[in-house]
Amino acid sequence: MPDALNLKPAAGRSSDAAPSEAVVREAIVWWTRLQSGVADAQARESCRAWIAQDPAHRVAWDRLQDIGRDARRVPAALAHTALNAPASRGRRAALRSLLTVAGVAATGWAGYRHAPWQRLVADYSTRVGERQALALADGLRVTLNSDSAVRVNVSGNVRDIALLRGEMLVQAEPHPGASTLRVDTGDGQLQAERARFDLRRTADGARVGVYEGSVALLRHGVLTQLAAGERLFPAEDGELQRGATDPDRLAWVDGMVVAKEWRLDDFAEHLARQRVGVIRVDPAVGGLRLSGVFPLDDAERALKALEHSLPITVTRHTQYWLQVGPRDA
Amino acid sequence: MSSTLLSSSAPCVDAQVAPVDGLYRDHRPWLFGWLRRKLGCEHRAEDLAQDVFVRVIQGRKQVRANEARALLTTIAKGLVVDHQRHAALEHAYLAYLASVPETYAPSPEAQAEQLQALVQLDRLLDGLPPKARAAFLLSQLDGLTYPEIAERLDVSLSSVQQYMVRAMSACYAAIHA
Repeated sequence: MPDALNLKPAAGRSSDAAPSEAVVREAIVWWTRLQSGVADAQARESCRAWIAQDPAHRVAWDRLQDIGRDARRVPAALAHTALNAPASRGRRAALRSLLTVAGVAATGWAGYRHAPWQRLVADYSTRVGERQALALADGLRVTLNSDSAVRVNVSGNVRDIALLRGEMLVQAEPHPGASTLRVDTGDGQLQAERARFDLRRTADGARVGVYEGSVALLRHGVLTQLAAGERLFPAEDGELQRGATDPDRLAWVDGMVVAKEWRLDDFAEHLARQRVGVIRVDPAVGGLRLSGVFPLDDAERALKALEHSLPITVTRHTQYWLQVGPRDA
Repeated sequence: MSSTLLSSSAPCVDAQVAPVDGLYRDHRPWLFGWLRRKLGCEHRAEDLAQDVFVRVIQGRKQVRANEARALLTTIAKGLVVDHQRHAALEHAYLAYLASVPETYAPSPEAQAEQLQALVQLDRLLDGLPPKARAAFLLSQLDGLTYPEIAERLDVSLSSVQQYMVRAMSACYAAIHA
């Protein structure tokens, strides 16, 4: 459902004081009116005026919008089966019996995330939090980052690798009798004779960074040459953009992460790729900057260490869920 | 995936936390046994036992020796309920994923996000009457109008409005109270 009002969020709203109960109640009434799907222009205008009346109104309104937006991240079909069963008590009982039948307690989320379909066809794969160095052939070495999978064909003189998921660092040297290394990136093909490069697949496309030698990328019929020190990454419009590599980005090979003036939310996302579960960063602190060298394998420890230098507090809700929020004054 | 929180936080243990140390040594074995019986899984029991002590540390409470068991059991019971609920939501999510054609299956990152969003929504809507919950979901997730929801739930339009107020109030309270 589109937001009924196209209002820009106020800057720095999280630092604003909490709106009073009365304001929140009013805001909720306005919100429910505008969510009806049958509100007219006049109602929208009145609501807009109410919001503009007082900064506290705006804060309350933004909070409601956030709640609605977070709720809509859950697919409707899922929510109806998981949440919409009758009464809370009954629902819990129903959930418990489901649990007993399925024996979920023994496998659960972790077991499931460790067995995605790609693993079945991949020759090599790593679990979340695991990294693996592979010598695939003479002069061809690959290091897989956490939660990554590759399909490899190095029989005869063929040297093909498909990155199915995650990230890998490839070190390739020309070998007599072997053809050029070809790498399927998911949305293109990379070719390299002698190169050391990093390739990562993300939801919006593949990212490649060349650290030694050179590679050629064939994508949508366009050939792009990439030399050492260059990287390609998808820009917001989906087109590839050229930039400079940063060797510190490869610290994951040693189980470390080097952050230089990183945003806290980017840092958390980086750590989250190395563990099962989620790390949620409150937008109020997501933009804080940090620098340092941290271990990759213990997100909780890395984030806890930041509690000393940043005004944040890290809490663990379940074994899967770390929450990073502003420190209470 | 066993937690290392207790050991990793050891260097910054202060005087207030120190009693947990003895508490941990003296009570961890039976707590672990109790959790293992409840959960039927050693790893989970291991993790939850850690969580119980983390809660005690976070609570910064002075724990008297004769109250230790009662306190730990209370915390553990709460965590077991949370855990079972989380596991049940995971199960519902798995069932949902199984019903999604593979080509449309969300990425692992998106899956973690969705599960987290589901857990969060479950927490927000907890304790609401079924119709208020249904109205909220139909409005926000399915994008139905209030007249459509009224028809679907067989209630009046003003009831839908009230359900929405009630549901949003509960959500707001769960997050900001």
